[in-house]
Amino acid sequence: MKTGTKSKPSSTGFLEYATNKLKLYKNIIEIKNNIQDRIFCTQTWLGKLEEKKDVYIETRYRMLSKESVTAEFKCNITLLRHFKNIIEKIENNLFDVELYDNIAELRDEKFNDINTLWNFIGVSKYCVIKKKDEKFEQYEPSKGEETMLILHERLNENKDIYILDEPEKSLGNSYINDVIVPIINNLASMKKTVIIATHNANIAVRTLPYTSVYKEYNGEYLTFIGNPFIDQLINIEDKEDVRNWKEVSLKCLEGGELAFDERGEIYGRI
Amino acid sequence: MEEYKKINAILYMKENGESVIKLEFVDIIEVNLSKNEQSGLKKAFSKMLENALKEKFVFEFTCNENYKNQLIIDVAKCYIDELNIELEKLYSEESFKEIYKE
Repeated sequence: MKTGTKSKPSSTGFLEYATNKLKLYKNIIEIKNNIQDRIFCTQTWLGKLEEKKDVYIETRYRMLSKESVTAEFKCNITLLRHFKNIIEKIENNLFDVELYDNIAELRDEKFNDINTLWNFIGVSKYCVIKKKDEKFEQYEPSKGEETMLILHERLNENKDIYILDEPEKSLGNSYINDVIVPIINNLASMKKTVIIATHNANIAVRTLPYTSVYKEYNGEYLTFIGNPFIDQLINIEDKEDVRNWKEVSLKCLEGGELAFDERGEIYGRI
Repeated sequence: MEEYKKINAILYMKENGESVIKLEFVDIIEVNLSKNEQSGLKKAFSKMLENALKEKFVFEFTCNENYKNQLIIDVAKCYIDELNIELEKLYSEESFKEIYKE
């Protein structure tokens, strides 16, 4: 080549242009396929309700779709829909001049937070029950059932110490008797520590607590500690102040000896 | 060797004296050789790729009989030859084959 002359270009640039565009097309199709409508569900056993009804928590992972709702996403759903729309435009305009405007749109800083497929996965959780045909059906537990499920779930977790504050709230006595009391007794037999604040006789008495703490208000709060085995409750600030465990339990948990006897007589007559 | 569809690439001169190569696809594309215009070339490349994905082709260079500038004829012919080489290279690219099959 002579000095000062222009050399013939080694290519027209078409091949590079075409291969880059094909690469772009392939990437766009891959992104589009990855974010297309799809649903995946997992079920985790939550607990058992009365009548042996097993309840599960279903976690639904759903790719952004027309049915998606804001609450399923961490990102702004309108922005996600806009992003998806641009991807579709890029695919459709691959051979049109608008393509470059579409690509430029994607570079807008408002899309900076959309940087992973996870942004497009909406997550929602709800309760389901298994039907006879083994399929799951959405189920809305009542307040009482919610308490049952939460309590059942917590008590089935393997912990060293369990602290329950009035677990009887919203629960029927039969459920306490048939489900909760046996679980608590079982935990105790496994040398677990269970601390319960309760007004329920079934829980307070039938679990045979190693230690009972009784609070009494008499102008000021007094604290007594004892158990059913020594049949005593002793004031922690005055060792001479001793109550009878059975009498206190009858009064606080059963409504007093008279009420307890009357119920006994009524039940006895049935 | 695979036979490709032949697309005419005709060099001619417009009334205003500009040299143009007309690529005779269904929608005719013109590449103006007298202008240094990137967007026009991009559009031509884009349409070439779009057509190639529908049916593989190569260009067949001809020159309008009234066209007399031999230097431009040589350059245009050389350009079309080079485009044909690049088209054939493109057809052997895996990325092209994958999409062409679709």
